[in-house]
Amino acid sequence: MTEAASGPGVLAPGTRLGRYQVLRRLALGGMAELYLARQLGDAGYEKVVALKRVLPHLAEEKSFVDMFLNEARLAATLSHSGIAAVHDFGTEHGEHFMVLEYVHGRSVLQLLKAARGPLPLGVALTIVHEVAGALHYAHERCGSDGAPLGLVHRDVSPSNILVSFDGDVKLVDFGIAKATAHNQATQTAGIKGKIAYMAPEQLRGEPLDRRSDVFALSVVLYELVLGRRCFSAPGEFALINRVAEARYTKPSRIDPNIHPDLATLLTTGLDAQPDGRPATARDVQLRIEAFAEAHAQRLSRVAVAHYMEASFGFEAYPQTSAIPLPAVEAAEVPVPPPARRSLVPWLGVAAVLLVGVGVGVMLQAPQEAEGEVAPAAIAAPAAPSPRPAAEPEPAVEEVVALEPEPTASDVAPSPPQPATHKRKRKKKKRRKGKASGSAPDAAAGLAADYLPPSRRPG
Amino acid sequence: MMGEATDAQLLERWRLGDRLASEALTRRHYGSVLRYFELNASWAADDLAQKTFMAAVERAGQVRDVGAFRAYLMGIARRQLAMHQRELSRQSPLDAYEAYDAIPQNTKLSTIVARSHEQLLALRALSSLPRRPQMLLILHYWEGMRTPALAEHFDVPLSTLRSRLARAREQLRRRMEQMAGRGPRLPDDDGALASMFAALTTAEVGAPTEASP
Repeated sequence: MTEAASGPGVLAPGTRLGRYQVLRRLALGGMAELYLARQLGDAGYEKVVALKRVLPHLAEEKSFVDMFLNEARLAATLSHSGIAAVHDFGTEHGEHFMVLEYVHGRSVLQLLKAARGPLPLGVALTIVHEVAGALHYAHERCGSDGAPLGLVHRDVSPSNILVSFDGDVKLVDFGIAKATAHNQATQTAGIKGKIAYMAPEQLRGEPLDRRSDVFALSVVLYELVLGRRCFSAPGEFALINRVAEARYTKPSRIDPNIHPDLATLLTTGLDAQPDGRPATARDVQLRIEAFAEAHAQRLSRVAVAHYMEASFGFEAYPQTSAIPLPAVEAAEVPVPPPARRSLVPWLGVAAVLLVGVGVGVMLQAPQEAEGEVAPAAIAAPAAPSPRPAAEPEPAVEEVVALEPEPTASDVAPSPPQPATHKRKRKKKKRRKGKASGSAPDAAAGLAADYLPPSRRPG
Repeated sequence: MMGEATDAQLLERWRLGDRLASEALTRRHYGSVLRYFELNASWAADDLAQKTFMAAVERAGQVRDVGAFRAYLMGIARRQLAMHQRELSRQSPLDAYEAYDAIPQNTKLSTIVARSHEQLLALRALSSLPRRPQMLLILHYWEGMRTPALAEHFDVPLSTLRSRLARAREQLRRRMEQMAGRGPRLPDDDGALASMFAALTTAEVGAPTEASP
């Protein structure tokens, strides 16, 4: 029943993955899917996270799993307010999942689409300034031996920059491109999706360094300030040619009144040769600051937050109360079952567990006999938890009823939010022409940004 | 049975209203047409390939040279591309972010891109050529048409055709040099050029189903 409601392979709301409980699916991509989830802990501890899972049919491909692991390892070494954190990495039933910071907001791509033109200059500059800071941090990062890692994001683009409703700016998907370099197929996919944000040297097959990210960030800056794409062409080879030669339309041709200083700021990082660009992302930051100071622009996250609300309306943080906490103790001992299979059967198991603890114990016995001891990391919440044991029974059905997953968009609508919802509606109405149908895809769009570009739905 | 028929035979049956014959012809040539559009306008490749075959169906009665059906078809494709490009330049929708999502990112020709930068360079150079010399190179090297057949198709003396082909090759070589900088060079030798193009065609550019040999 659960399967029918959610489609094959989809984790139903309420499903448990180690210490995490799925709340709803945010997005589906070609390689992975992203869920909104909560981390459960003792004493009612609960934290909303984003959970990225390798799609079941890819979970057995070693090269892909290696790539996923690489991404997790790399991202886990980064700790910066401008980079969406990787909190955890887990394996359940032989399937890997990554636990990421949940960013409540939108991607810059969504901002650009919603704006249908330039963003306010201050907002655009603030966003790029923040990303440049995050990039510089990553570029400067050293390994445990103290030697520079030479990290290059390689995939800086509007869809990989998230802006929260609080005005925070977060870079995501750090290391995807680096990891994909090991795998020909996915490297191709990477090339396809993001040619428009690749540095020319990348397309020429030359070595990359941090200045490649500077180029990509400059493309983003250009697009945010001018409200149109920096590189576009009718086909991929034409696009590759444009980017490889850094042929873009001069800002003054798009906006004849543009201040020469701003035009310079926009194009300084768009040089076809790395030597012609600012040497570091920090350098980009400094140039933005100098420009802002000279032209009375304020770099303000508050302004970004205001802009977010003005563009998308007020949006409440995801509510978790609609999904009952896992009911049964048995479910808390995360021992892998004997067979490596898709997680779908696990849903069935979860449903059975809800029927009675006895069954749960029964199921557990052969698992222990298998001899695979639960790793210490996920065995943590073994202590009896003081969670309310109130609503164990109809959990699964209830959840499914609350959150029917639309088939077309692959995204479940937000749980009912009586008070805030109305407010959102009102706002939407006021913004003419934007009210229709944008609310349910909100979470999806956000989530899509965690997925590689070519794999995003829609 | 269908696979053994020549283009000319299939076309003849098509004209007489044999739907199977038209399907067989389409299957046989779909890959070539699609590859052409993936080279030149990949965001709309499927769409344009379909339009090309629709136009070919409408004009099946006017085919002058049944022996070179592929060249005829590619001629239609070239006109479809020109129309598409005119349309784009009028609307210029590609700068807009709304258009971004509509772009299908998966094209089959670009599987080559990951293979080697030399091949990528060849494709880049080929895609940047003017439509006529590009088509000549494609028909000769990609579609394997010999110069006498090409001369007949374009209705020019063989010597003219040969010098046009040489000019197109030279243009391609210059483009590659410009693009590569210190990178790979295009071989001057005709055989080497042919084998480079042959390598490019091994990309799985998909016909709807397997074409019969």
